[in-house]
Amino acid sequence: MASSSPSTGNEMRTIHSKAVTIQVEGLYKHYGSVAAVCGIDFEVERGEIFGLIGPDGAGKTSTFQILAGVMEASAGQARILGRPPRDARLNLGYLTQGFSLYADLSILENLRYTAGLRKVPKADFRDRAADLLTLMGLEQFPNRLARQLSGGMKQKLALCCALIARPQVLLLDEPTTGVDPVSRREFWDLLAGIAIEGVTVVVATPYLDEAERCHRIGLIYEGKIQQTGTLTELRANLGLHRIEVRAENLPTAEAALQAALAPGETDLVDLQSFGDRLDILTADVDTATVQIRDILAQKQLSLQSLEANDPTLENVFVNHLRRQGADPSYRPFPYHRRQSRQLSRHQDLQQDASALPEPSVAISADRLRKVFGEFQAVKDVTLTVHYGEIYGLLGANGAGKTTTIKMLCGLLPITGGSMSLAGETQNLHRAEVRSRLGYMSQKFTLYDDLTIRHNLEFYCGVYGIPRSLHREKIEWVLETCGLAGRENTLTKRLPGGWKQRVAFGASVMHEPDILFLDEPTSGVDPLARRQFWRLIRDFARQGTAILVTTHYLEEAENCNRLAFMAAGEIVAQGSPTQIKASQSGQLIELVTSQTQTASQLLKQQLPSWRVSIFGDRLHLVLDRPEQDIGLVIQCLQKAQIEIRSQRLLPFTLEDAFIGTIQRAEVSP
Amino acid sequence: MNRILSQAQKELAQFSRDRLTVALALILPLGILLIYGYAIRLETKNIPLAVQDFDNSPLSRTYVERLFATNQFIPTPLAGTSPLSALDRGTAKATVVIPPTFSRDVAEGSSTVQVLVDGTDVNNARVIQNSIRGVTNFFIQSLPNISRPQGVIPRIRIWFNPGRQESLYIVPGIFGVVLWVFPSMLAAISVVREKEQGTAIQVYASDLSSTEWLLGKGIAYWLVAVAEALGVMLVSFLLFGIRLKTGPVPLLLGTGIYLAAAVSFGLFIGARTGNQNGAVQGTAIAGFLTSFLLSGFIYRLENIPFPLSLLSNLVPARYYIVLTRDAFVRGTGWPGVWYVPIVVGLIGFLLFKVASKILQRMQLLD
Amino acid sequence: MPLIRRLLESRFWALMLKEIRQILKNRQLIFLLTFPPTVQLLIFGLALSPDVDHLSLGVADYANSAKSREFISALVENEVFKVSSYQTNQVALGRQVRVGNLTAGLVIPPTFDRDLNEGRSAEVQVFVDGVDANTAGIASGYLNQIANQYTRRLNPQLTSPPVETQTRFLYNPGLTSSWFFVPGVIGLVLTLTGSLVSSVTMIREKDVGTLEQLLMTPAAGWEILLAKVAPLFILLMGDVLLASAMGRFVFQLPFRGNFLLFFVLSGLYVFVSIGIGILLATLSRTRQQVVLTSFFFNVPIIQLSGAIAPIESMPPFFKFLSWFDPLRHYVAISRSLILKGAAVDALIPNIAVLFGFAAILMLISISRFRSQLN
Repeated sequence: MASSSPSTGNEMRTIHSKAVTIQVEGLYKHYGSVAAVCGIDFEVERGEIFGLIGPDGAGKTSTFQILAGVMEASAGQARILGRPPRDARLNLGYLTQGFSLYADLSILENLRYTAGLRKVPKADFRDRAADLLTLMGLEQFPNRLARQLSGGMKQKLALCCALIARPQVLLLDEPTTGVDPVSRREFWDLLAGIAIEGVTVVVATPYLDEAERCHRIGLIYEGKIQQTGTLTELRANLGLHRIEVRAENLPTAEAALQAALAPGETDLVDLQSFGDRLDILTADVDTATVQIRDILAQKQLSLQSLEANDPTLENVFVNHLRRQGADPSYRPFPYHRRQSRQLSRHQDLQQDASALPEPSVAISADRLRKVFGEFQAVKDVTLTVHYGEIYGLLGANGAGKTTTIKMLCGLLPITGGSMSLAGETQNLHRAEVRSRLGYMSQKFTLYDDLTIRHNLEFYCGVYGIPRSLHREKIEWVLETCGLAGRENTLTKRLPGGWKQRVAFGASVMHEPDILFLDEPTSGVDPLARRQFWRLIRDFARQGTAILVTTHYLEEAENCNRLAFMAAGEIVAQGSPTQIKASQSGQLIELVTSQTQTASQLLKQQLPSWRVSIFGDRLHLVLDRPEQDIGLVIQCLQKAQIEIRSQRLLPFTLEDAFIGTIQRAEVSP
Repeated sequence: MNRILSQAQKELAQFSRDRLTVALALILPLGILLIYGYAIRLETKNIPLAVQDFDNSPLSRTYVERLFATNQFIPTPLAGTSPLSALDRGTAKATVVIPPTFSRDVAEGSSTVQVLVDGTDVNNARVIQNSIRGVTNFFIQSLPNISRPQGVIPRIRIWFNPGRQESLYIVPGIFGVVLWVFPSMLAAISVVREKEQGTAIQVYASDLSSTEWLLGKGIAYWLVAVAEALGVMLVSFLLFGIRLKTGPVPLLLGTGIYLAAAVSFGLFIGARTGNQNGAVQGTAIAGFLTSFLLSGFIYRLENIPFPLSLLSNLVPARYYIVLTRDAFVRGTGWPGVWYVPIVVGLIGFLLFKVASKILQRMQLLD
Repeated sequence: MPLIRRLLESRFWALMLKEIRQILKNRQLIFLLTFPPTVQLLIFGLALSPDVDHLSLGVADYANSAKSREFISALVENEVFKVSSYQTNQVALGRQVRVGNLTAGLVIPPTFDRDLNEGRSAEVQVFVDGVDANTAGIASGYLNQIANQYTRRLNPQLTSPPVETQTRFLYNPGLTSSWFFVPGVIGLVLTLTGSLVSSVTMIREKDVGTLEQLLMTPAAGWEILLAKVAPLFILLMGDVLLASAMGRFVFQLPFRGNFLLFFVLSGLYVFVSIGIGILLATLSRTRQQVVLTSFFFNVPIIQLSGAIAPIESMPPFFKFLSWFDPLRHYVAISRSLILKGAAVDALIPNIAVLFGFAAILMLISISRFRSQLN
């Protein structure tokens, strides 16, 4: 199945004229002694969407700034439309991280100002602005101030500003960060349309799932481009398949399969644990399937399902980096408090043998509400988190996740409803309660001006960890983060992702019973993210209740249970598998001869969220696939669009999220 | 030109929507005008004066009455037996000690009255000394059988401000401080904010030149500054009775140029600084200290000692204050102030040039 | 030993150690603590001087005789005036005053000698530039005195006037203006530095987001606050020493009172200024706002304190307001102790007010500390 499409990818490119619009050769950028970009080469052709994928601090933003002509390269050259970037500035559209809009100006004023900067003739401005605003769905409120817009609308306005001068090249630096999944989908559909018209697009994103929608992808890490190619090429290069395993008693299953990963033992190459399944990579699906069944049978674990699938971009990325030896080391946490407590709990259980080991409730909230002035930030949120459970709170920025988590940990007073935390309902400020909690807030929670060691020493001291244990705990954090020997570095010198890891370490050193993690993995590279989740799972298995928020839907698979939040409300709740299974309908992937035309046609027939373009493929969500697919095929054939392949895909959590929200919008 | 104007238009729109900045631009200058306008009074009145009259004769009582006849002094008790105790406690600024032999000595030819003055406040002390001498002279004249000696009598006329109203001196000086500090602060914040919030990158990514960019901002904040100037002058007109003494041309032209120089100073600080905090502190401390202390706002410029006096030549407020005092008090017009617009304009132009030179590349720096 | 062990194990020590380490790493803070106070003390101390001397005087001497020249030299004798131009006619002299080149113009009439020789009084005309009302007042006072003395010199038969005043300037016999300003400026510097430094350290924690993290730890609000205040307090006491040393060695202040008492009471005021800073920080959300609001608070605090302009001459309402200005009380204390050498009992009201301010500000800070995240 993976072998059927590389040819289409190549054909795709031959359709366009071969003109190369962006040429980058041996590009270097140094900041003092730090090298941000170390010799990048790539070319992008007219009408292509080129994705630059990599973690924070990999050199993406520096590359963009050089391409946009706002920064000088230290060495090497970049040419845009055959000219140095500085001379091509008026033919470029550049969307920076955070969009750089004027918050105090209205949509129209922002647009007019950019048009003025980019020398758009006054006569053309009116028509172009009207067209763009209609295209983005912003035409209804041209006078609304930018700061009153939601993340998704800001992003669209920024795109309007970038497009108002009709640029030939569009540079988009993380345009979808912090934007809700629905808007993200729409955004990518727009991009596909823009590229068809001959605009060259270079886009950076930390979301590996949406990067699959680019024509070509470059993996950038530590200032170098590691690999480039179409998604199918990259997958083919990896040469591995992914098997999803669902089984009883996952921890045991994981341990058994992990043992089998050792080279020469089996055909299993990699194992990744999620909230309710294990992913295994292998070169040979059939042999591996047999091996997995054998291993599980030996341990007398019953297998619920075994599904072979395409590897994800994340698999490609992680495996590529692993081969470079970038894998962070794993070291179990030195538990002290926990052991003694578990012993006593164990004794309790023995004394009272009849008691069922029912997990007790750590956090509970009943119809929790929060009102800021007139704004209802959180509406009737009801949830329970048990000890030993990882509970995920998902949603876009502004959906109410952070407010909810702040109320649950007692930082914000609640407006209505009731809640309990570690068995307490009142006086959450008491030191005894607090010392049982761990908290890592969304912003960086370390003191930038202290060294890493001083930061860790501070958190040890303030949580009252006995001095004799400080050394061990701090060493654990340093080694887990791969920072051993660099503990005297100032924290501000660390890239964002590293800081996050140290901050996580700092918030768990005192072995909390309840751990709150607000967006712990933003900006962390995929390898480190995996390690992160492994540590989080370890804590959960030791009995810690973990409440985590994230806007990466792909990593929400790591949660035991999760809730989708939108506009302050929980719209769906359950385990990842439950949530995906509760989606009605089917996801179908089509490869056609004219992706863009096909998409436009189908959007006339179906609600637009059901149709999206993924590179050279179309994804359709159909409620009654048996009947609807016939209509789709008919419709496409009428327009003389050839269907090259068609297959069913499993829903991702993102599909489920968008489906849930879109259906909720239609129904009330 | 079009782009400069559209830049200015955008700045004004942005300014008008940011409530904090509007408040900063309009309320703070007025607040400072009121506080300085009312609370800085150098000439002392109502000085608490204690009298220790050992003589307690009709003559000595007349003398004491004379002391309190004007509003210069108000009587205050001695607080103890020592003439020093009231001074030590700070309840009196001066004590007059009249000797027991006062009336006899006066009759016999000469008596000495001891005046103890709290010298802490130097200016005050001098004023007290002068006025007690004045009162004493006046008292002598009124004594019977005193032959008035022939001599020189100065006929003193105080020009421009015959009533010696101090607000006439202070308020035009405040213009120099307020109209420098706030326009420059606003301009500095507007440059730095674009750098901090990343919107500057969008400007860098177009081919706008640094001069065009700064000029656009400058025009916008110059207009805001003009509004501030009008507001401050209107309030001074209403509350402090400030009136124009000459034709308005030197004031209008000079103020326009002064505000432009202030805005250029802000743009310069903004171009140099990376964060808003630094910009606000830079303009507040550098701008405020110099225009407050080195401009002759409170005390005479000639009193500033040598190395600092050189620095004061570079402070535009010093020139502008000459101009406002001329316009509102002296009334000489061009002959007295012709150099002010030239010097201030030159300083402003240089600041602007340097600012646009700093941003010349219109690029992110490493 | 166990006590020290317990201290080292305590949360408070961890908090305190963190603050100290942050301060040591923070070059900007060290800069803020040393550079602005030094510059402010120097500029305020040197640039603010109410001295009225060397006033430029223009003369139009129509008499042009030995007597008239004698009178002119009597005027410049004690350096209050200096003759900077001789004009031949009154109109030109008037123009010079009008343009602002001269502070005063003296016109000696052609009849000067004749009047004096014939036993009449000679009138001279003086016009004084009244733009600077204070200088004009003092200048005309001097003119009158000098004319009186000259008259006495002309009439040797008058030995002395019937009443003579003998003035003694206490505390500051040389009438050195920096002696007046510097003790006040020490207070001004402590206000500015103390409130700025403490508000910036407080707001930084809020700005960066670490405050949230800190509030989630078992540490109590007062522990966090105290740990923040204590090192700042010590550093600001260093500023007190710095300012005192400058006062002693640069400006030659006499320090007549008990220095220890001055130091302790300065410490009390440092507490107040830290309290103002923390209050500003709890009122604001960002650093920029803190700097602006501190502008809003500090200008009146300084203006109404009497550090620069005397309180006695303010209008009654402002005089009343100044009672609620903590700096006013500190300036009174520092002038008393530095210049007068007063005993504590004279200062009790001021000390009591400062205590009140310190207590109220600290209470407000602690009570607002937790609720400020909303």
